[in-house]
Amino acid sequence: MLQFKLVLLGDSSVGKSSIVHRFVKDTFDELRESTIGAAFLSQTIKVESEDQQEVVIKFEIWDTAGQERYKSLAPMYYRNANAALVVYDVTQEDSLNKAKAWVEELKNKVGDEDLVIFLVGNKVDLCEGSDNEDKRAVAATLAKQYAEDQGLMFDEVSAKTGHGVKEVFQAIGQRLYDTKKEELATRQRGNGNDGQVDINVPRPSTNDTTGCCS
Amino acid sequence: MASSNGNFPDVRSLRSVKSSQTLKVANQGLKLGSKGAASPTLSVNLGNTIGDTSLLPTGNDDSQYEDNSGGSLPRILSIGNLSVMDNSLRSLSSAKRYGTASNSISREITRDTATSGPAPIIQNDADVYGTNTPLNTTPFDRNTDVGGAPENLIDMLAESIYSYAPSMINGKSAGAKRPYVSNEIPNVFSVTERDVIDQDSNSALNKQDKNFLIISYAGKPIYAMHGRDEQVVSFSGIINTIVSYFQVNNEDSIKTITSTNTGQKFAFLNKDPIILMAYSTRGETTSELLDQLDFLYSYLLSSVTERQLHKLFSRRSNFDLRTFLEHTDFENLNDLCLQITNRLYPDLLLNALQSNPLRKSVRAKIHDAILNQLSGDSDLIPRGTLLYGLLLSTRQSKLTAVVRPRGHTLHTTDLQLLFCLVRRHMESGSASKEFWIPVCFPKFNSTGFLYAYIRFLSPEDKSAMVLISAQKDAFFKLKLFGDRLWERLVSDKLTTYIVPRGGGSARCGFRVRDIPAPLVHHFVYKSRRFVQYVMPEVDYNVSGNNPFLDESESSGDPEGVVEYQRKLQSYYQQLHDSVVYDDGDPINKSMLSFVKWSCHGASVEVVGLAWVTPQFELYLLCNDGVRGKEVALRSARRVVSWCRKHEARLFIHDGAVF
Repeated sequence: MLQFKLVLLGDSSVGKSSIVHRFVKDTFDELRESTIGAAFLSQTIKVESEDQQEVVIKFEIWDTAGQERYKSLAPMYYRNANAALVVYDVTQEDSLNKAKAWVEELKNKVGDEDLVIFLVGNKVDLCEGSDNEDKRAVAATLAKQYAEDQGLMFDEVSAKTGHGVKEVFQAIGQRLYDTKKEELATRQRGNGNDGQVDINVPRPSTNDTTGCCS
Repeated sequence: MASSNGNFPDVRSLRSVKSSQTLKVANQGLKLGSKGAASPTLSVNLGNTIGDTSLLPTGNDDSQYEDNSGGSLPRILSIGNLSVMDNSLRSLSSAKRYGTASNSISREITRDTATSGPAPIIQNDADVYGTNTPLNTTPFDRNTDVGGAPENLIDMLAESIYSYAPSMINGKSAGAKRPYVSNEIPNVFSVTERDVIDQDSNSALNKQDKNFLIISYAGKPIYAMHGRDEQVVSFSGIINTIVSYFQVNNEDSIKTITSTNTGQKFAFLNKDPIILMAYSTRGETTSELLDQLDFLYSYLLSSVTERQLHKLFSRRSNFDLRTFLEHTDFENLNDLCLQITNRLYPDLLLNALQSNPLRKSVRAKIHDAILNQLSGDSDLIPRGTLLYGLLLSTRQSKLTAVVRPRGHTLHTTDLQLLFCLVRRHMESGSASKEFWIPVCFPKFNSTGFLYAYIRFLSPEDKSAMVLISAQKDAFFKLKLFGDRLWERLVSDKLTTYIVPRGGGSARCGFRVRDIPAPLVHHFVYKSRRFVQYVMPEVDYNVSGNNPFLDESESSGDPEGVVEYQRKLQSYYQQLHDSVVYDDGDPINKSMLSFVKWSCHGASVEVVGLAWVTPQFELYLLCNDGVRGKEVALRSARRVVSWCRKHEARLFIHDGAVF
């Protein structure tokens, strides 16, 4: 099993917790409280290796509070992240600007070249159907263009309907696996553990940069 | 001022309450310097001691606590006699408190009779509790009235009302006879709209019997429990004027305005740059309202910190704090206000925490496990990383275990806030997550944040582990420690005590029926030494048919449970008020006070008892039908001796100290 750290960032009430909730529990809660501080949870997925074999990936997820006053805590959450999900609300134009600011901060502060940043537009269910098209405040093409310019992954999802949520994490898992597998192969040869990393051995410290996935 | 909605009394009554002195923070919460009209010596003048009554129990175990309470017999200090005509009336005590009665302090209730119904009848104490009146002359109109009967008869009668029913656990008859106490305790209080926070509609604010307002010094509204902005804004100007007036003209701040003829009370807490105000017609003491305001203020600090608060307002005195607070803060404030006003929440009233009863050896094992894990993991979490640790159950905000450094304890208010925070997270259905939350403990250090690692142990039983650190990046250390500690508790088979399964053998709480004290409906027992209290599980009997309903199982009727809790809280609040002055000071170090509520139109009476000594405080409510204070007293003695006997089980003594 491989472990990757993933952090969710974005303006408050864009639906970060709801996305995580959809991913982990596959449910949606209309009246979600805003997150205080940060919540930590984990979920496993399976990705395919080159030789068609299933590889289990465990995500350790930091669901952070989007509120401005917790911003000073953010570095602690993204410092060792392998992937970042930067979320905006497709019905709130300003939330994309906040998302862009997060992308900037990640690029500046996280040294890891391989950090996967996934830009996610949430709440597409609100602007589905011809009646509700005017509710959309951020055009998909616009956000997509920005993502391409910055080298980010991009998709639009709905935590409420579940549309696209699993795929986002699946894509992140696959990308991380693909970028890390060489490094991983070296490690496996080193400890002869045929594909299994023993997660029961406590890692000395999570701030340690020599961890399996750094 | 006087013309505003008629809510503010005239200047005369305003002047009568302006006297106030500095706030002293003591164990009992806020102490106001100024005394009420009654002088403390009143208690000495009262001759109606228990020793005079012929029914003083003489058992051996009864004498022990008399010795402990300073060698003197407790005195009956007040026999409150509260009469209410019907449920349409509002709160009980626009009473003249502590009039100078010769032999007892009686509370007379005066009230507006605007609502329909007969005029209130004020009963004379002597009719009911005449000194040593032969009790069998009192007319009995129910078989449960066991006034002066001999003790064995009382027990027999008690058994008859306990009504043995086959215990039903999981639908199967367990065969054993288990007595149960009827939870049908009458409500002598008014029924207003409960459990609704009205922040949207335009309905008049003065229809609410209780409200909390928080405004800034510049008059900007910050929070209102009830009422929309437009309504609150006009009030904030008035509040500001009043508070400023007293600040300019006196060295002290104004504390309360009371209108004696309408029973309205306004309490002010001046915490520059913030003013908090409580409005109530429920008859709380001033100190109670101020405690509640301080609790709300403490919440604000726990979210913002005092330093930040002053910084925000020093930059711009007309700063709008609402832009800085988050949606969650207002939700939490709503939750706290509901908790204070509409729940059974003796924590604030008693300034104590509720502890989770556990066998002494079990609690010792849990504490040992924590300490062993802590010393074994000293490489993982170096000394100083962990400040404080708690195992708690949020179902009724109960504390199970504590780990703390030697010489340090967290203030009760801080823990109460933490409990609320954990409960809120639990309710939001995020039991599968672990949290890392910056929180300021205002009584510990109001200028900075600590960081709380919260892990839920069981979603069903709402138990949680909380580990607190001063280091903001200590999450993974504490998480690992928490993981290992939990593993150890699992391997030591201690988890069943921390995460009790409902109805299981390891049930932690206790019921009224577990205590050999007949005719007791419910009680709250506080140990002053440990600053903790216990009370029986709330048996709310929804249909009147199933006596073995848990609080959790009865969730089908939450409104009824809330109503029931609210009722108990009202009784306890008035019992508590009968032993303290308006400023919260105890009337006497040791005293015994009976309060009797009666409700005209229905043949309903409730007898309650408050018993305060330097060691403990007991507030007890008798079953419907109990009329005699001797019965109440005898049961109270049994409750006290039971609580003392099981003190090691009921309360957390030291916790795991490192």
